[in-house]
Amino acid sequence: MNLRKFTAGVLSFSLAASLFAAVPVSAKSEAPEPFKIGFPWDTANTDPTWISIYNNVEAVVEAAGGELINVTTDNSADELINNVSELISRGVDGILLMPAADSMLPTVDAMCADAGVYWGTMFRTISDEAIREAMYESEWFAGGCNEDDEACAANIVKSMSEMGVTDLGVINIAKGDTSSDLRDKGAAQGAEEAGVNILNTTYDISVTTDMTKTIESYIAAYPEMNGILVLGTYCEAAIPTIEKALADHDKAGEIKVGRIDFESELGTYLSEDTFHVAYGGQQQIDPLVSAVILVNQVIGTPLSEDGPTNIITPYLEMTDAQEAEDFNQYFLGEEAVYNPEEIKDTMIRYYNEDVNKESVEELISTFSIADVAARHGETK
Amino acid sequence: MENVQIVNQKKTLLKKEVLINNFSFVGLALILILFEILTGGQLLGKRNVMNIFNNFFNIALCALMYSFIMALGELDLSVGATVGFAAAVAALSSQISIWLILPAAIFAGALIGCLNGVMTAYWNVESFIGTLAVSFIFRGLTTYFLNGSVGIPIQMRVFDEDWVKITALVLVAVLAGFLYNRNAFGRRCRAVGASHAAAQQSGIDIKKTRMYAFTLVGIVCGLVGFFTLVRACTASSRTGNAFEFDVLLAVLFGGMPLSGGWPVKFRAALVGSLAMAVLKSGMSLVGIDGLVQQVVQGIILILVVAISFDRKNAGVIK
Repeated sequence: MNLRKFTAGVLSFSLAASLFAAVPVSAKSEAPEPFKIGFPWDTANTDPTWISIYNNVEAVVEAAGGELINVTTDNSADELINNVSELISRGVDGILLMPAADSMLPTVDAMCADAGVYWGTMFRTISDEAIREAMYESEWFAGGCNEDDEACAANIVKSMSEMGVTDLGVINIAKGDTSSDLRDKGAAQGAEEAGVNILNTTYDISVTTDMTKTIESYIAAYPEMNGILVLGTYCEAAIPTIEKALADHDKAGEIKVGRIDFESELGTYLSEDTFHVAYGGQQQIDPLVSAVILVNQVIGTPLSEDGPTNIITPYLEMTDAQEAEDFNQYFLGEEAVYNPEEIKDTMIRYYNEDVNKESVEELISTFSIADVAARHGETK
Repeated sequence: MENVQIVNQKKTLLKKEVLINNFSFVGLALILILFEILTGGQLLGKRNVMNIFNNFFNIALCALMYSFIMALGELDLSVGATVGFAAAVAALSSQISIWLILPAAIFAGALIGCLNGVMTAYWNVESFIGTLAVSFIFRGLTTYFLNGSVGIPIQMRVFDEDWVKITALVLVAVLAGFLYNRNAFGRRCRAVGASHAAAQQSGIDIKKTRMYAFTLVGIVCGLVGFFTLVRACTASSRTGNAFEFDVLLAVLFGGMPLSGGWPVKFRAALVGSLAMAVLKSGMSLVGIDGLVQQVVQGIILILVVAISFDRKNAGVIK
């Protein structure tokens, strides 16, 4: 009897043990230790793209079980340093930021190292070799995402050249910004290869009145101009402003317009054939994946075991109104481009141990407007 | 009976005057109490106090000398551009020698301040327009010279230590306080602000007084440029962006009337800067988004200017 009881006990224990063993250790249902991610971002900006950037970062942090702490910033180097200081004082475990310049990064790293806080970047690569090397050796730098800004700018200039553009007026973000400099370089390279003449470049336009003045000046100063390319701008409603200025001078449709970074009004102008090509979409996937890199590091399950993780996110091309409509619906809505379940299952290593840098790269290699529409169209 | 009524009316008026004269302190106290409660004690927590100090430091440094400009009844809208240009010149100088950073920043600031002074004092350009124009010129030059951004060695962060900043602030405050309250220069500034004609008839050299006031602000902007640079270890075309509005908001919040003259109190610079820093930190801690923060600051600015504007002297001055 005792033997039977003992045998039954052993069998029961073995069965229970095998059941527990059958559940992958990685498939944790409980959330990790509570954590806070600091995110300096300009929440006063009502541009849908800027709001979507915030939403995508927030989606990752909350999907992983954390809390997002925002401080308002103007994204200048000195303000970002103050933001980092403030976030550290608020006890965050990680900070995600869009650097204004490479030269500010050693300061950020020093502050974060002193406080024992991980940090990561989004949208920007580190161009300065010495700084890049130092940052990639830091144990507190989690890594980040960026796009191939140079190639993107070169490609969009070539695309515009194929549309017949020979003389181009350019608008870009402030000089010194890493993306701005790389896009300038790429545009110059693309222009040289395609035989396009860059007439002028205006930097750091942040309000619509300045955008209008710049376009009107271009029209007046360069009668030969047959293309306008926005390589980047923090001006809200940039394309509607440009289109209005062109229409006022009977140039809408005559001058080809292109831009890097999608915005919400592109569909209207694409269907009217007054806007012609946009490269973008990275504004949603980049912050999302950057947050994924940082969150994984903060939780203690980094995507790469051998140092900071750098992932290049793809640029998407938009040339028709349907794509623009899908973009507005699925990229600029309240929902992130990957929903919380998708983020947990495919991007957070704590919940799925098969997740790593390569798997995330593979996942985003198929990222496109059609992909997001297909995944989220059914769920809506 | 009538006498009692008159006495009571006088008492009420006196109370109102006392309240108006000290409303910056009342405002600061209200903000402190409100956000201390809303943040559950986090606002004045050990970790956040230095954070408030960092927000306060640059604004206060500049606001202290800005008192002279306000006393004159003038405005300087170039302080942000001056900070940016001084930081840029200092960063470029560091490529020759790191010992040049501080002198280069102060020299660049003094140069712009001097230019502002010459314009307003000798060329009779309205300070509002003149300093705005100077702001555009030096923003452009900063972008041109930097051609992006320029970093300085990270070792320079040693000057971002709290004790260095506290010492610098105390020294500037003592110097500015002495000049403003204990020296003829401060009295001249207020006299000019109260009435040009009366000041001139009293033998005050209005041109020199204006010139010195703008130069002092320029010098202190150079110092702010230096501290901004050593904090971020980088100078870019956006360094000092919108700083002029922070300073203006701080001095107005402290109760300095735009009309200038004798009602301009030196303490307003410190109280206003502190109130601004506490307000910003409090709103951020509570989790108020940037859009609402702007609305709140705008409403406060209107209220403060409406309360502090010296209506009695307005007709005489303008």
